[in-house]
Amino acid sequence: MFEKLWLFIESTGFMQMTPGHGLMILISLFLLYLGIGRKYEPLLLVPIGFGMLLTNLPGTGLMAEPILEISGDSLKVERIGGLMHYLYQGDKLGIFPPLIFMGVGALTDFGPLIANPRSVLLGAAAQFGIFTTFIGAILLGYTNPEAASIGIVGGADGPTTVYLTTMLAPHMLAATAVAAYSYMALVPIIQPPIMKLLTTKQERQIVMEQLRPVSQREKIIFPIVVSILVMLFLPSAAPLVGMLMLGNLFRECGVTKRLTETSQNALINIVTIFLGVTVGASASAASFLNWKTLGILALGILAFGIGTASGVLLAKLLNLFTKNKINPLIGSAGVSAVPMAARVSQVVGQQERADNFLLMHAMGPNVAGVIGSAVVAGLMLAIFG
Amino acid sequence: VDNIINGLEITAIGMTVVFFILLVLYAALKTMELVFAAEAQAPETGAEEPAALQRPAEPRAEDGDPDEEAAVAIAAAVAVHRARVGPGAG
Repeated sequence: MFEKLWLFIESTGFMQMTPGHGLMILISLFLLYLGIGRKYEPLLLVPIGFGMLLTNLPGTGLMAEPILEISGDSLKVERIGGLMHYLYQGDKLGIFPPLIFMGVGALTDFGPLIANPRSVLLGAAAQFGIFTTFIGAILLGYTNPEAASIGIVGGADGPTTVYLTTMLAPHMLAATAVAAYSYMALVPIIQPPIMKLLTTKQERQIVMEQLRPVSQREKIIFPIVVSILVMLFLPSAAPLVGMLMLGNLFRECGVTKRLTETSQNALINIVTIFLGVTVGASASAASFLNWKTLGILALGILAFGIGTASGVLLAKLLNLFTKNKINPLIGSAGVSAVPMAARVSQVVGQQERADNFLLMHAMGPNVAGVIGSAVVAGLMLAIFG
Repeated sequence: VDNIINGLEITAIGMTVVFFILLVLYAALKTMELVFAAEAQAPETGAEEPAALQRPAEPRAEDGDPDEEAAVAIAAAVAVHRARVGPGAG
């Protein structure tokens, strides 16, 4: 009787708790506080935090792999494997991030980008942060695939970060995902000082020409043209760019209302839950509590800052050669983080001039940044994958 | 040093590829702008000649039967007359 009771006590989580588990539980509670209490990217940080909490409660076996035994011709299942292990296959096999991209495409209006093609260049410039951080990470001793996964945090695109990291450095998934989503939430704090530092008051007051109206036919042609161009040049970008453009085609073609609504709502919400929970669940004490995680967090914010600065500086450079001036504040929106980065451009612009409406102008580089970071991810995969 | 050189090489290749692809996209968007701007301006600049606009419309093959049209016109005239004179009249 006493022996059975002792066996039960030994099987409880209390008896299996280590300091690592304790620390991870505290980190998960902190993420939950950020999501719920401070409303920082709650749609992602709440499932990530809770997934982290669940798998770090000892003894749950939620991330346990199945154990199979082959005896003769038959396959015997010794242990069935944890729920999170199976859901995690959606990340591991690169399924969830492209599905989220399909929802993002269905939610995004590429009209501002089509109306102002120069926005594409600003979206490209902002990717410079990814590459400079890549070099920084190599200097700090990370391997090339690890450095690429850290650099992509500067793209400020959660699904792209998750996708590339699962393909190149899955052991760093939780750290890069937490860094990407946390910094996306901190865009209104990180970007304005950099934007103000690199621009003059006069530049911040530039009023841009009104965007031309874009016809529905242009909006339908756009995703098809982007898909063909990007995938011919960079086939490895197909899962992300292809799904992004498919979602956008649903939105713009006008004949797939049900598919658009599903992509915009049910599908993206369901996949976000699974992605968030499983990314959190992949954060074990062994993989998360080390110096590399601190390095990822530090380099991630550096990538973000350099990306912001590059977009602003290219806008200033373009102003030297073009007649229709660009307000350099919209260059910072090239770091993706749709639509928060565009809103930041609007807010900072209006601080200088109340009647200046930059939001729609900033949406151009903002959505170009999404395409740009997906292209960089495809390129990194082509090189290191 | 090798690592730095390697990183710089990848950065140079990466930024070139990203800018190249997005420049091609820029060119495609510019082409679309030219094509569709020309299309949008066409009605304003007079796609049809003024003389063509002034010409009386010629009967088309898909137009209805003339007898049927006359019947509809007569019915409409009767309805207007009744509305003016009042119900029961005529």
